[in-house]
Amino acid sequence: MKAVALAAILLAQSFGSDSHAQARVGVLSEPGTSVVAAELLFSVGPGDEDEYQSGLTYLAARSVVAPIEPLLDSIGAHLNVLPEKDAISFSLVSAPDVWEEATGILSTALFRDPPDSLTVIRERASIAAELQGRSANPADAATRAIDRAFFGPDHPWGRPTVGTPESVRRLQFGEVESFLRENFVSSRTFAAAVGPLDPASATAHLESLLGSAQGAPLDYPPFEPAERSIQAAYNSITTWVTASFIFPEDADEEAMRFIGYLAAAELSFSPLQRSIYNVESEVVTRVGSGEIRLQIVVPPEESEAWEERVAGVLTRLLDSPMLPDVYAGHLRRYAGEQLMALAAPEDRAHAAARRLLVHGQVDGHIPGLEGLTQERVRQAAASLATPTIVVLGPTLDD
Amino acid sequence: MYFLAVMMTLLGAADSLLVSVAPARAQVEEPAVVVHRQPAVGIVALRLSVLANDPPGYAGAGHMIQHLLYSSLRDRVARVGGELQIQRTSDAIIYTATGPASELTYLAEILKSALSPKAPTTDALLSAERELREERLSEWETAQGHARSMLRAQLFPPDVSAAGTERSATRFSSSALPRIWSALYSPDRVSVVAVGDVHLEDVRSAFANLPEAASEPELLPISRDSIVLGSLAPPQATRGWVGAAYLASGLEPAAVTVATRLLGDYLRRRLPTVQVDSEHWWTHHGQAIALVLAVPEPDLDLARRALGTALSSLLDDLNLLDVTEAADAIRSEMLFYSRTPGRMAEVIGQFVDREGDPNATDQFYAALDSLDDDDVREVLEHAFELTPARIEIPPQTLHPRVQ
Repeated sequence: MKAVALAAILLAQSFGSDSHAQARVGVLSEPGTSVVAAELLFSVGPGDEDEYQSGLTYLAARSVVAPIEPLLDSIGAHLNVLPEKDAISFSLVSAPDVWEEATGILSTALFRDPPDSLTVIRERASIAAELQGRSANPADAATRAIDRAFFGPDHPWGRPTVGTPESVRRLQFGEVESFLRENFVSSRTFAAAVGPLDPASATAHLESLLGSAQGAPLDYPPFEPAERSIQAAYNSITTWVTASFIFPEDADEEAMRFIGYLAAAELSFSPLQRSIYNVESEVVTRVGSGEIRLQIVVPPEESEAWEERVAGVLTRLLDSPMLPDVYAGHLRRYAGEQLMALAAPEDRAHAAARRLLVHGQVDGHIPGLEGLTQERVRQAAASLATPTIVVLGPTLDD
Repeated sequence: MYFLAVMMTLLGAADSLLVSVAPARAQVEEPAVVVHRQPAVGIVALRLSVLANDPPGYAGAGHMIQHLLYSSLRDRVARVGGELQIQRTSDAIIYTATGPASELTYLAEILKSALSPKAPTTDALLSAERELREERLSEWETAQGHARSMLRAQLFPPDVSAAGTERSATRFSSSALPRIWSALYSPDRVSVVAVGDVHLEDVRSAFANLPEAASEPELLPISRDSIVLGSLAPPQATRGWVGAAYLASGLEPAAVTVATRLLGDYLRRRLPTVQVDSEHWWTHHGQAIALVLAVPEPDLDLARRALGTALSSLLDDLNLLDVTEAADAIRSEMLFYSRTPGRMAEVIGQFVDREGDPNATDQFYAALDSLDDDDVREVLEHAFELTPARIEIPPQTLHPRVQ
């Protein structure tokens, strides 16, 4: 059953782009919101880099927007660059009367202005210094380790999304210049905006930024998770246990998100689980597949027991049905947390841009949770394959 | 940043001298309700404020009660995925709950329960006392907080720390706190600001039937407070700290905000190696322009001179274009800062607490648009005539230990 599920995921990954009738522009009109948040998302990432070029996407993105930051600042617009495995986003928040000007400045920089070598050198040094400063952070180390195990050491997503200090220092101006020219193109761009907007004119403006080019097919190489437990020695005073569960593109996405929430609730601090320091869960959907990722931080001497608890968390959810009022309480809290995660307009613009990338459409923010029954959640949980687990921390020898 | 500074530095609290807060609405049993409808996502931020000074001799009592209630309120709000914040400003005791709009009634009941606090247990009391003491110490020990406290104490003596004083903290017994609360609370002092996917009638209905005020507030045994104006301990400073603050009460607030921003910009241009904070303090105690500089030791003389001549230099160069650009930037920052329901409720609520006018935020925003250089000149000339409050904290000198 689980082997079939995995085969379906790999099939969907290989041919994911063909199944989309892809819209590339989405506008959500929000009267009462004080600003406009716009996002230009490029389906560009580590998959477009050569093995020795890890971090090139992020360096190119930072280099191309650095020169326009003072200009955006002068009109009160705030720009942020967000790198992900399958895309890189430029998020702009500005007053309603300048949002078109701000997005125009951004698109000109991205599609027309060539980068200058001085900026590339400065941004390269800046990114390398940031990464160097984070190299001793166990949270980053845990993310690197699970990425490698989940996507595979030879898969581009198995490499660090923004590179390493060493890989970034190796990147040259010429590589940045040609990478920008080949990949930061309008055919690979998705644009979303939320705020007090007239949908028709806002859509027309965003479409004018993207031009008339047809959307390029989305082409992400398939991957095969390790689906086993991996120990990674790391010199820290805590142990980080990370588990990733893959699910197929056509899975019940809302049920998967709720499973991530329930699993985190099951593992979190309680009178019977007092030794756990932190629990986090994240559900990511991508073209072709999705992932539930759980991460806990525990004392090293308890790492084996916690590894078992993480590995068996879905089994426990499946084996012990909740009392209806307990389940309703979880659902109530989960619904609120989902809404709160979209409190800022830039978060809503990002969610809309991601939906354009993954689903080819934007249909509002929050799917209805009315039909999310316990049975539906159990069925979704039963379809999940064995997780890939990474235990990162000090070994007994330490 | 400037607007944020305006908003976030109004955190000093009223203590206990006999000062009235913004006037309560006479004989009103329902709270004042302001709703900003924002239907983008099904969220609501509910900000409930009680306009109150702590009673004489009991400085910090309002914030102490907030600490006592905080964990219980937070956990109840979290049950629907929401978040709770407490804040004690110079004007009010504030609770803000943000969560699903569909849970409006539930969230309102939680906030209303904060208006009838129960006598605390000894454990809870000790824990809240420790938290309050930590707040007091951190304000005095670090140069950043210390400089502001000293300037504020010179300009607005009654406006002491939200965390109270060492002396007043000894009076917060579990039997005294309910009596203190009865002196602080009455329904006509309550304002509610709601921002999100809600309607005015629903919010009014959710906050109807507030707890009644004590029919006869009990007399408290202490009626005066003693406030230490001097330094309790040398603050930690690796740079020199130089500050000046000018009273600006009675002047057009929008003009004061723009003047503050222009002074900050001027000092940053003059002193590129110096960290410059320029803040518009605005509470029911009055308004002030505060300039606080963190200066590397070799630049201290230069910084003192620049600070001393900032007003006159700016007056010499003041022009309409700079004023308009500064005002536009502040308007833009107001929009950016208030882009979430919680932040929008905070901004609107602070104006309502101070002015008692539900449209005060809009009026301030509109006033920024119509300012000219004469308005700002008036502020600067007014400040120029005054003797400012001053503070200077020398950098610590580190001596290597001789073995």
